[in-house]
Amino acid sequence: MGIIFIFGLFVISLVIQGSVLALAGTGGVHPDILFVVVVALALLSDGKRGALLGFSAGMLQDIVFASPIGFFTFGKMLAGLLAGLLAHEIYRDFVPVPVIVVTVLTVLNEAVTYLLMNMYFNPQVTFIHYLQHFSLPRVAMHILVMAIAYPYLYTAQKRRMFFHEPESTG
Amino acid sequence: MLTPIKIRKKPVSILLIFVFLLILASFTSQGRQKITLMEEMLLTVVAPVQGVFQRLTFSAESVFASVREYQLLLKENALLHEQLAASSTLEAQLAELRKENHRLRQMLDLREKSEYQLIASEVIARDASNWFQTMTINRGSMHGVKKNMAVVTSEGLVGSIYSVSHISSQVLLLTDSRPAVSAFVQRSREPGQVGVVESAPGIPGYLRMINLPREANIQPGDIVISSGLGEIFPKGLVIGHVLETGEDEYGILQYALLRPAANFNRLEEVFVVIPVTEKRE
Repeated sequence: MGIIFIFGLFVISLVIQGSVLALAGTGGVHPDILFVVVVALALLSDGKRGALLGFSAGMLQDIVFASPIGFFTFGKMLAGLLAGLLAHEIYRDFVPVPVIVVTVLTVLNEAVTYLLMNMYFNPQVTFIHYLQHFSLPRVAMHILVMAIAYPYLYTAQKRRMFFHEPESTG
Repeated sequence: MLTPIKIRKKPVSILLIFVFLLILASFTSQGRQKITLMEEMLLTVVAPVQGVFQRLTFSAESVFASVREYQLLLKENALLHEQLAASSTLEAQLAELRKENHRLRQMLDLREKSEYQLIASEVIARDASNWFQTMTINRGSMHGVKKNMAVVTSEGLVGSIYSVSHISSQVLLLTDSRPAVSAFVQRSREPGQVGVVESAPGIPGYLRMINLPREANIQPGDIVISSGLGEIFPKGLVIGHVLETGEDEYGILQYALLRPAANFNRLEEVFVVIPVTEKRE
C-alpha cells in the first residue's frame, strides 16, 4: 500500500510540475516538487530506501519528460541516499531541519545536473549564471515547498502510510 | 552510537548503480530508436492524469485571464460599438478581398503545403526543468504518430516527435538544445545559403541560425523556413523571424538570432505532420 501512495505522490508531483508550474513559460524557474518529495520521504526512512526513492522518482521523470535516461535519476538518487543517511542523525519532527537539508541538497543537485549537462551536451551557460538565475530562486522555492509539505508527509508517515516496517536505524 | 546500515557495507554496489546511470544517460542523450515496454506502460498510466491536470490548469488560467482582462474588454467593447457602425462598408470590401484572396491562392503554387496531412493533438504536459524543452501530447502510435514526425501550430514549426507510446507522444521542442533544423531565408530562397537553426544558447525561448555564409542575404524581419534537408522537417514550415544578424567569432560565417514563429509559452493544441511518404502508404 505504501508503494502505491509513494507512486501516486510521485505522479502528482510530476503532473503539477508539467502543468501548473510549466505555465511560468520557457526559461521560467520552477520548483522541482518531485525532488523535495524525494528528500522529505528519504528523511523519513533510511539510506537504502532514500536511494531507491530517488532512483524511482528520477527514472519516472526521465521517462515522462523524455530527458536522457539516468540524467535526473543520478541527482535524485544521490540526494535520496544522502538524505536517507542523515535520517537518524537529525531531529525529524523539527521542520527547520528538513528545510536546511533540502537547501544543501538542492545546491548539490543543481551542481550535479550542471556537471552532467556539460558531460553530455554543451549548455554554453556558466555555472555562476545558472546558479544566480535558476538555482538560487529554486532553492528559495524548495524551502517554501518543504516547509509546507514536510509536516503533512511527517504526519502521514507517523500513521505508517509510506513505510510499514519498523524504521531501521542508520 | 549509530548502527551501520547495509548501504555502508555495500558502497560498491551503490557506486556501480551511479556509474550505470552515467553510462545509460550517455547512451540515451542522443535520442533512442524505441522506448521499452516498461516505459510504454508507465506513459500509458501517467498520460491520462497529465491530460486531466493540464485541462484543469488551462481552464483555471482562462478564468483568471478573463477577470484580468475585464476592464480591458469594457474599453474594447466601447470601441467596437463605434467601429460596428462602419462595418457594413467594410463587409462589402471584405467579400471582394476574399474573392481576390481565393484567386491569388489558386495562382500560387501551394501544392507543397497541401501535401501535408495533419494529426490534431492537445498538449497534456510540459517538462518543467530548465535544461530540456519537451512536452507531451495526447496522440500516440494508435493515432498514427511516429518518431521524428514534425510538430507544428498554425504559427509555425514547434519541434519533432522524440518518442511515441500507445496513447501519447513526447515532443522535442525547437528550443531544446538537442534538435537542429536545416533552414533558409524565405525572401531570398538561395539554395547555397542554407543554415542550421538551433536553440539560442543563454537566451531561453529564442533560436539561432548558424553556418550561414558571410555574404548570405539575411536581415532583421526576414522569415526563416525549413529547407526540407535532413528528412525530418518538411520543406516550407515557418520557423521564426530574424531579430538580428552578426558574424561568428572568426568572421567567416554569419549567424542570426530568431524569434520563434510559434509561441512556445502558450502551446495548447498542435499538429503532427505526416510526411508525404507516410500518407501514400
